[in-house]
Amino acid sequence: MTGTIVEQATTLFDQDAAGARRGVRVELVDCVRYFGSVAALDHLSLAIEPGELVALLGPSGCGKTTALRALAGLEQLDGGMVRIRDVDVTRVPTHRRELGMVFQAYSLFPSMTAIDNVGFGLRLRKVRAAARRRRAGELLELVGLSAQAGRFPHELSGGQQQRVALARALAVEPRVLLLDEPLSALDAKVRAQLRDEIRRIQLEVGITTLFVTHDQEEALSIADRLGVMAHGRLEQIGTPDEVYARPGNAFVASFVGSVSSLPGTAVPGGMVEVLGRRIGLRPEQDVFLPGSAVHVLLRPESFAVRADPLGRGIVLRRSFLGPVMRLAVALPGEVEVEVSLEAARAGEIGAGSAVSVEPLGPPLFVTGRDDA
Amino acid sequence: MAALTIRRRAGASGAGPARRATAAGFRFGLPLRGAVLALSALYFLVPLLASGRFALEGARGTWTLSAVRALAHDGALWSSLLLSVEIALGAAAITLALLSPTSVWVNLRLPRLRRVLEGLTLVPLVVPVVVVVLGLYGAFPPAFVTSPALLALEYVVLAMPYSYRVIDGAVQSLDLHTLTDAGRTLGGGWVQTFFRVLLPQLRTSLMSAAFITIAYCLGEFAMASLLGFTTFPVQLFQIGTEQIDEATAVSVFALLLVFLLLATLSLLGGKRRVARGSIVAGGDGTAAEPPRPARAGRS
Amino acid sequence: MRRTGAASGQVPRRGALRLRRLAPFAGIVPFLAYLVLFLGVPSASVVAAAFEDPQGRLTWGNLHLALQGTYLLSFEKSLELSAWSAGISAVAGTILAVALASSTSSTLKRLATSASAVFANTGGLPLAFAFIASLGNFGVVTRVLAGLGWNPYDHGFDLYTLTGLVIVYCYFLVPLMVLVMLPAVESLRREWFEAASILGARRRDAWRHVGVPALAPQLLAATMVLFVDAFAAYATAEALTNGAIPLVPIQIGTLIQGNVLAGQQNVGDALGLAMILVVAASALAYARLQRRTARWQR
Repeated sequence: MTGTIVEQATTLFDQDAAGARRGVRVELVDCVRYFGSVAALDHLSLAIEPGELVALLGPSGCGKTTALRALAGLEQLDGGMVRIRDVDVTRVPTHRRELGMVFQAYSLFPSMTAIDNVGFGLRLRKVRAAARRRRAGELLELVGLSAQAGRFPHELSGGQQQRVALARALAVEPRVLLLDEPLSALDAKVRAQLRDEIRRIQLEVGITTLFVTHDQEEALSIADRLGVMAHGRLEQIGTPDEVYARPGNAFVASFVGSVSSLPGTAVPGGMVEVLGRRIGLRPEQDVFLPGSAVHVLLRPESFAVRADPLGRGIVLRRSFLGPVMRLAVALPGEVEVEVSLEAARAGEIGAGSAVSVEPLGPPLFVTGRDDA
Repeated sequence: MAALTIRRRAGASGAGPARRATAAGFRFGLPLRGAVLALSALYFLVPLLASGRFALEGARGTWTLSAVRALAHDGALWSSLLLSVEIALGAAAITLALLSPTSVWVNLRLPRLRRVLEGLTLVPLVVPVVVVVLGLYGAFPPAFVTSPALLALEYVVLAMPYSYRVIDGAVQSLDLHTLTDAGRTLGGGWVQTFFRVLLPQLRTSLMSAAFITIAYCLGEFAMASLLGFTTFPVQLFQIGTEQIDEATAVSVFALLLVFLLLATLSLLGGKRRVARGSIVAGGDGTAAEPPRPARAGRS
Repeated sequence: MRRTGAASGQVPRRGALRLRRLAPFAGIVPFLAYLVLFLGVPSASVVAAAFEDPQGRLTWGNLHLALQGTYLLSFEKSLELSAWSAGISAVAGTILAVALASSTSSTLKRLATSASAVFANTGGLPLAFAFIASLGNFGVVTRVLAGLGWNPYDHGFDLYTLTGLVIVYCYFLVPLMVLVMLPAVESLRREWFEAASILGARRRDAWRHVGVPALAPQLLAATMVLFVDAFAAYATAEALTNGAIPLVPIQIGTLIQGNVLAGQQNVGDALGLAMILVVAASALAYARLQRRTARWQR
């Protein structure tokens, strides 16, 4: 099954002489965009390597969609430059940038069937009807919708519509694929399925892709590299595990994945004391004078938790997440932490249980604290 | 015809905050938009202004009220206006009496036929008025055709595409089942429920429907003239054949009147739309105390 | 004995059941009766009379007469007038609707909608008089233009012609078009335009392949209504031209007012029937086209 699809993809899309997949380098250079007095893009620079999938993640209003739209030419820049394959396209209008884009929802042309939607770009390129239908058919097959070729958009489910939109974007062999929250209007189950399929197809086609989302799980699972944005700036960019494990600042640490923030104190020997225990810091975290007050950010999995009648923690809530159990635990000093433990070991720990909670180092992130 | 139903999709044009985008979608840029709007304003306003000027024009480009003054003493004009008003009020009364129970009934008991009925009320739009007049002469005894009552009865039909739409829209926005259940639980019969519970809720819309009918009647010329009634527009036409400036003066005046009437209506309509929530809430409030079980049973 | 009892008990019950099922329809009987009496009966009587001679005998003579000479000419003129006015108004109204939809001012939109509702209902005499006052031989605009050295009447323009009528008819047809098209234009999604331009469409390609097809069902429906409206209009034409241009409604009007040749009393009915047929034909053509353009709607 996969084999035939790969075969199909290789025949569907050009490869250069060396057999390497298509894919071009894309760059946003020092991009600035204002909406009124608000900077949607604040000197944003971002480079996407050929064939790479970069996900932009951030809270709504952080500028991630503006960045994507600037790349598409749907949004003008107040400063900076967009380069595709090392050519400055900042002044090139959208319709000549040769891109593919999938929108959040409802972007299919309502008066055309699925196959006509997919063939639209080819029609504009004056591809003859027979060739157009053939290729559009192939692309519909690629997204698994051959049977729905003759349907109109309103006769398709949300997930099917997005598949058609993907096929439509790919039909013109675009240089770059832009995905603007393509899954956010779908049900959870369809979303996960289509997410994996988008990644599969992207890898097969080898197309440079920018994927914008506000869903961190989505971003973490699909991206080669993940950029976290806030206030029009790129806070950090790196592989998903880098960003998850080594956040560059407190915002990234708290935005990607769940974290608990605990008051602590720096102590000599490259350690911090938190919850009465000392945990080691990574070398780059060891920048605090001994004795200074700090916030220590810890992932739920960075705690050892066990039922303990004498423990100082009281479980407030528990939520079952399959392999692990997530607990919200209240600790003395009005501190609440989120911890996780293997579901099998959670046993009879429930709301109201007394537990002991021990931090395990090194922490995710440490920042200074003025309030102590 | 059904495709004409006006679809409102709020905010469908732009998702999220207004963006200054290079490709603004299916829209015109400022220069083109400005040109189109300016030309349209010119086309629609110049004839109105010209009428005003024409009506108040004296010899050699002076301004005068002589045309208006002449009209004020025109007895025939006043009696024709009286006739028109009588006919209009009659037509409005019949419209309300006929259409509001029908709309309520259909929405309550025959919801499947709602669209069919809506379609039927649009039929008068496609039958030319002159054809109806021909038919009246052919189908009804002469004594009936020469009675102004017939004109009122026919105007109900001719204005129906507009009046029914207003009434039906308002009825649809009511929570009919709850209201009628409430009325009946309070011990009223169908008739009492209709008059005591539903009509007060529909008051604004019924007034709108009545106004629309009246406006239609006051302006209708073809049928009145062909049936030989000297209504206000017919008299106006008579004057126009002799004294075009006087006729223009009256028509400017009549036009202004209709403008005011309809502008008030659309303003009322706008306000009602805003206040609908509160009206419905108020309706629920008055009706909400006893009928709990009935409502639960329904849903 | 028992069996007969059961049977006799069943018959009225079944009847009552049927009665109960039909009871809801009783509520709309007055409405239906009214519509039949005051619209259905007159229309039917026109159709019937079209096939009768003054003595009440069946004949094709009326229709035959109605389709020749002046009457035939009046059909040509009427169709010409309604086609032009509907066509121009449809295009102009749609463009105006797009211009209004492009405006960011909601006040302007509300104002324009209300004004359209008013103008769309401004048929008849006031309209005719307003245009006589502005573009008539001695109209205000005519005189202003003449004062500027360009009298339109010296250059082939005449308000009291078919062209003049088209200009006047647009005055109430364009607003009608705007009323129908504004919501339709506003429902054109920005995403469609953007998706099209990313796929390589220039502005005009996007309009041609995506925008216009999406508007087509509403556009057609509205144009049909405009056509029928223009075709049936009587008052404006009568007041403006005083019957100088032979239009079908005016011809019928003249016949009603008693200017009938002996033996031709029912020609008016034949003309009326022909009018009904024209309206029916345009409705049919509309349905036909609609099936093609609205295939993609539910």
